[in-house]
Amino acid sequence: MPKTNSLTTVIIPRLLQGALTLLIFVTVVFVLMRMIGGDPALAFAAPDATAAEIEQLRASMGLDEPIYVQYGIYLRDMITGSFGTSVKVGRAVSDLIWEHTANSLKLAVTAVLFSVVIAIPLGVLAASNRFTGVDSSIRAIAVFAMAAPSFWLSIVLIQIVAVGWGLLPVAGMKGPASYILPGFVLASLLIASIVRLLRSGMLDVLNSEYVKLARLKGVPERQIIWKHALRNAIIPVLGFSSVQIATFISGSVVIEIVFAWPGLGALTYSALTTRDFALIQGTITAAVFFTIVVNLLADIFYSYLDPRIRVS
Amino acid sequence: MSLLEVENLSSHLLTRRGTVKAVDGVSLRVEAGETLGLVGESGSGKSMTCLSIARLLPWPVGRAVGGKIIFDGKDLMEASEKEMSRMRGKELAMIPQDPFSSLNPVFSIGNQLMEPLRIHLGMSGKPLQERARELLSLVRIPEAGRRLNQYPHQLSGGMRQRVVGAMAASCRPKLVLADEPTTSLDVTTQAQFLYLLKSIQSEFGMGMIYVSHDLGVVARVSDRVAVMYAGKIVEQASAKDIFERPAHPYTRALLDSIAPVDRDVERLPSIDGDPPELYDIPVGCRFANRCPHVMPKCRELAPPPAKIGKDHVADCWLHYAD
Amino acid sequence: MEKQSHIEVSYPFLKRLRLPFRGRSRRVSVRRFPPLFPAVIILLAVVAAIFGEQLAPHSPVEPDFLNRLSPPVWVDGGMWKYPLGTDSLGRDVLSRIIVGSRISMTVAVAALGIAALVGVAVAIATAYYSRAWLSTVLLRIVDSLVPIPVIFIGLIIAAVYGPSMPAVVTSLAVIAWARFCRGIRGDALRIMEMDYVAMAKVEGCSSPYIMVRHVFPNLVNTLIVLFTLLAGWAILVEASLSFLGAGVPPPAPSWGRMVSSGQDHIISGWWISSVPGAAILLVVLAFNQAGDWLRDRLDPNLEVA
Repeated sequence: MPKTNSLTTVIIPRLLQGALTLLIFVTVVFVLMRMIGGDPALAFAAPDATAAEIEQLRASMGLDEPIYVQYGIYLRDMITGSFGTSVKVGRAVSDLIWEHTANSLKLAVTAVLFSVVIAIPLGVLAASNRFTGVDSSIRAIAVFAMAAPSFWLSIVLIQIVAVGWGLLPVAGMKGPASYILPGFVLASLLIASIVRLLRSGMLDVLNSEYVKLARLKGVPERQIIWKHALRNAIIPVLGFSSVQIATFISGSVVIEIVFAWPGLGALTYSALTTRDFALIQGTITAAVFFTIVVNLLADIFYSYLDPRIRVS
Repeated sequence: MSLLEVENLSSHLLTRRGTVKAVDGVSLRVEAGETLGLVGESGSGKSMTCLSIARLLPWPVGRAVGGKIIFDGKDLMEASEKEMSRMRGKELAMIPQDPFSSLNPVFSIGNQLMEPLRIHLGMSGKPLQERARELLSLVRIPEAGRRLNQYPHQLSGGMRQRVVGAMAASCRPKLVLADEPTTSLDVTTQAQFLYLLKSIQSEFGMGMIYVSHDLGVVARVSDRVAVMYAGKIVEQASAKDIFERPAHPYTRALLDSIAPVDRDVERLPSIDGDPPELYDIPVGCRFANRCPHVMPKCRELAPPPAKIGKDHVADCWLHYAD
Repeated sequence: MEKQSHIEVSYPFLKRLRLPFRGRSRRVSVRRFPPLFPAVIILLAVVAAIFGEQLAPHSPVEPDFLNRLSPPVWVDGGMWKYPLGTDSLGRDVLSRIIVGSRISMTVAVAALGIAALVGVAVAIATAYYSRAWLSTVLLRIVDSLVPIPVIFIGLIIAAVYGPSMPAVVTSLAVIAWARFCRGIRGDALRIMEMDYVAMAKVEGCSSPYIMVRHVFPNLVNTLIVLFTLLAGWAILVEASLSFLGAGVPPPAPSWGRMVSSGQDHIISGWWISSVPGAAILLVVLAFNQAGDWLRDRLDPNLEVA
């Protein structure tokens, strides 16, 4: 039974691992905020808070309970997703999270589209023109893109494309044109790694015996590259990139701030700068939760891509 | 006119340590419907000869240096890549060595089997499916319908090689280059495959070059045999002549190293020494340093082909009377 | 001109030959000397980090109000006094970049140093006591930590304890040790299988002695490669945190915050963020390239988590 097989061997262990990651993360957050000296109530209180206000905050945070009870309450809140109400915004934290996550998701989908549309042709182009000028320029661009800080790339693109040429909006989420710059910057790292992986994967496959046999069958070169070689080379690349998509969640913090994008990253950041305690816990737990979910989906996706794994 | 006539073919490999003359002035011919056995040690240039004929030398190190490949009245050395790819799989097919790595793991057997039919014969739809099923039954693969949807890793080695064979035969090519197609199979599977290959060949009337290092196998499949040593063909004759009247010392040495079936021998004689490095070919006869009959002349000048009998030539000074 | 079609076909015979070009196989040709560009950039960054104030032509923090927003020298209105221009307070961008190297380098070295120590210790111990339940637990923790986004850890720590150098170092180290551990564990397990480890056990060497004297020295190559590859990552994370205001606080100049401060002057002073950003790019690029080269040279099979 193939289905039960992949369920037990792939999905369940991943689920458990994901749950453990989440537990470790919320524990790390808990430990950071309560255990290593300092008074979280003081840290999260407004600078001009009175002693009574701090005391009230302490009670509302459950800080007057013993530490293990605090941990229990904390875990219960995390599991049920009841993150309370944002003091600063005056709305339920879970509502805010869903709204902003939707915006982040739109940006992430844009970035995935950019990656596929840009990176796959570039990787194939580099491999089919191996050891030529085309190949080395594509590789050089990829190497630079891997090292470029995304906040810097954002600012440079805003300066040139938005301010200099006036082609695209500088910031904000207004209409399709506003998706282009942030989506491209978010995709840039993924584009670079797909190009590099796809190129070397294609080179390996173009050297394989089955590509040789395909040539011996008289398959035209175009089909050799786009059908036989790409289909094989793309499997590990897709597996890797689906895992990489998880980095969109942390990558988007910086990008959403530069482009004033109302997403989860920007929400987390504003929660931290305004010291909105409930919102911080909520957004960060959500961000890690989504990271884990994307990783999990990537694993499952990968195991279904390869017929050798899929069928057995 | 012969189906395939190769004249003075030379192919080199450019490596760091120098130019490897992998194929060095090879001439051979194959008649329609005939099997030519190409025998030699590994690294003697047998596979490179096949790849040169298919015009698929390893890129970017392989170089076709010279010679003529007249196939079906046309010189392949003059053919463009486009013409070649139209011919490969249709008129000129090849069965490679390793059935385990020769099938693309991500496409189904059916998909790969139908590919040459689609490309060369423009078949599609029901007739294509039907033809693919016929081909699988031709190579004695049961449950053809189910097998078509399976992936290579679900088939045994022998079955995969039969699929590759079916693929090669699919467009009824005039010539099949079989490059040690049975080396990676076990003995029984090997015998079955050979039998199958011969029956398809006679049914379709294909010419074949059968490459092997195993004289025993070659003896069973070939009408004529060419013995290759260090990039050159040293003896060429009918299979009968090769086994009954070997004229070149290397051929004799090869025959001596086959275990005789009819009597027990304590030890098989083996050939002492190694073949010359192909980037540093000595002047004179290439077999000189291993030859039991070596003469001073052998080390000075390479022997030209000597005519031994009807259709029987050997490159050896022993056959020149002076 | 011979009419060789440019088609690539593998041929088993070729595997025994050394091919005359680069790229087919990593092992075939790895340059013996480090590539010049990364070596020079890393050297410059290290020298700048150590001797920053002595090398910088101006003070990195002293404002020059008469020369605010002065452009780089190759732009109209630029002056040689400030070759890379000045920021909105009139501080020399070049001097700030030179002195700012110290923060990037210190954070990378400190965080990765701590992380390497912990990571290697855990890798060796879990390989040595591979059947102990504690090893299993530790490895589960490692697997859990690797995907956690480090930026969030950095933001939380900065929010709770205020932005500081130790906060940045801690948040990096908390995640990086797991990456070291994962990168090194395969090697550690392989070495545990070696005969000399078995011999040492038979001879009655103590466990800590075997781990330090027999196992550790064999991991040094991998450790160097990992350290270099992760250095680029650590510098990027530090820069991102500084950009978000969660890095090392002012007045110390850090590259990430310089980029951030230029955001308000996208039109009037593009160089304020572009130039320090280019510095980050170059240094990260140099560490990535150096890491790739070291990996090819020392440990071709390594895969970084």
